[in-house]
Amino acid sequence: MKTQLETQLSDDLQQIVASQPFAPDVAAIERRGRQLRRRSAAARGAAGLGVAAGITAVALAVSTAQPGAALPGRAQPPSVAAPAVRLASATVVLDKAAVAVAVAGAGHSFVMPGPHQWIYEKGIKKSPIGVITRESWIRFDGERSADIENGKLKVLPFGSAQDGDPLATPQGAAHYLSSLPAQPRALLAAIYKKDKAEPRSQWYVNLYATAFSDLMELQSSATGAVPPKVQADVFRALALIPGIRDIKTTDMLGRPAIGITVPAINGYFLLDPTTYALIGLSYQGSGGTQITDAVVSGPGQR
Amino acid sequence: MSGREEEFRDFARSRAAPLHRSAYLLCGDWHLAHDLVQETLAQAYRHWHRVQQADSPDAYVRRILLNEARKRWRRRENAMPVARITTEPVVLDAADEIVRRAGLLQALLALPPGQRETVVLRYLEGMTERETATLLGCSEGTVKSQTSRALSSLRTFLDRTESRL
Repeated sequence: MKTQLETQLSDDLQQIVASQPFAPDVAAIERRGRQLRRRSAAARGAAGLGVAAGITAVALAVSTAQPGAALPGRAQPPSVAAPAVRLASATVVLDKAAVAVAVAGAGHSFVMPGPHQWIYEKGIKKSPIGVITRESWIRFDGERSADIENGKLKVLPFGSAQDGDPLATPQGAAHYLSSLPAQPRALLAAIYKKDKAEPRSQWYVNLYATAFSDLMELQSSATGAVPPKVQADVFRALALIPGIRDIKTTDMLGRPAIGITVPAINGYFLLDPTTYALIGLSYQGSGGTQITDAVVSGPGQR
Repeated sequence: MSGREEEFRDFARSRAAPLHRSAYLLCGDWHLAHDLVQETLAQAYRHWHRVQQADSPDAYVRRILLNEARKRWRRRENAMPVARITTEPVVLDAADEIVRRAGLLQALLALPPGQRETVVLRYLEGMTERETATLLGCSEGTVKSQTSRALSSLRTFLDRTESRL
């Protein structure tokens, strides 16, 4: 039996959400659903190749990464007194980003995390309740995740693996990206080939926007486990997409940043205008700015 | 159009509005709620046979919505305020229920995700403690404690008498 307080809460919640019309775009839902199905099918094939590539990478790498160590070549927060953004062409900016990530990773041998290692992320973003920061963990195989709730670590029995899409997990996306051809032009051609295998009705407006979106999703799913060399290749591949452009924007704290995007996509790779490091991804005005990430052996570790 | 597609469309149209309302209370933004529901139903389309085979298709899809919302928090939205908003009610006009409810919404959005999900399932969707526990994959005791903590945090925005003072 509900108390008076609970009844009041139910009434208030009903009032808060009352009178908000909503009609789903069923055609768009079905297009997206079919796209997800095809991505899963394609990824199941690609994941096998990717795992093999990942094992090779581990075998070749000198194990210098320590638990808790920041991932080589990953973003550092923008300097506090960031200068005003001066834009060059997107091609020039992305080349600088590629050089920066390669240089940052040069002193480290990248070691692909194991499936039961965890990726720790700390980032900031604006939300309806103000600027907030967040720490989170996701197991590399995507089967578990963890958050801080009420100051306490909460490990959840699910992660991105439950989507049924191998490319949605850090492991699947990182291995898939690592399995792509090393040359930027060939890398982009592989993405185009994958997208062309889908009916045009599944694309985001056109092939170029679809390829950009794919690389953005893979970058997001890989959650900081992209080898610096591969990251550099991705930046140089992005530069080859027709219509690629850079814009002046800000990160989630309002600091100057460079946004990389293509027409018809409301999403950006955010680069530090000083170091050209990748500092986050922004989707439709949401997204976040990354403060740090690291490979750790368990949830709660930093 | 196949019967299967027709069934899905009927399902999507009938469930979209309640999902949209729940999504709004989970994320606090109608546009984001729209995106969450579109993606939730796309996932349902992708796994339509599983939805149809589920004991409760509604519960299955609500589970997808919670997962999608959690993913947004994890990847993009974040959950913990740097500076928590005050839990004291703002100075309210005597009968300004709109302002009081706005405060309640802000307080709800400031709750940890688990408490917020519990509140939405129990007090918007009217689920029992057992149903909520099954959906969230936890014990009824956890639902009780999450509910208790949430009500404690929201109490100042629910006491109409106090608010009118």
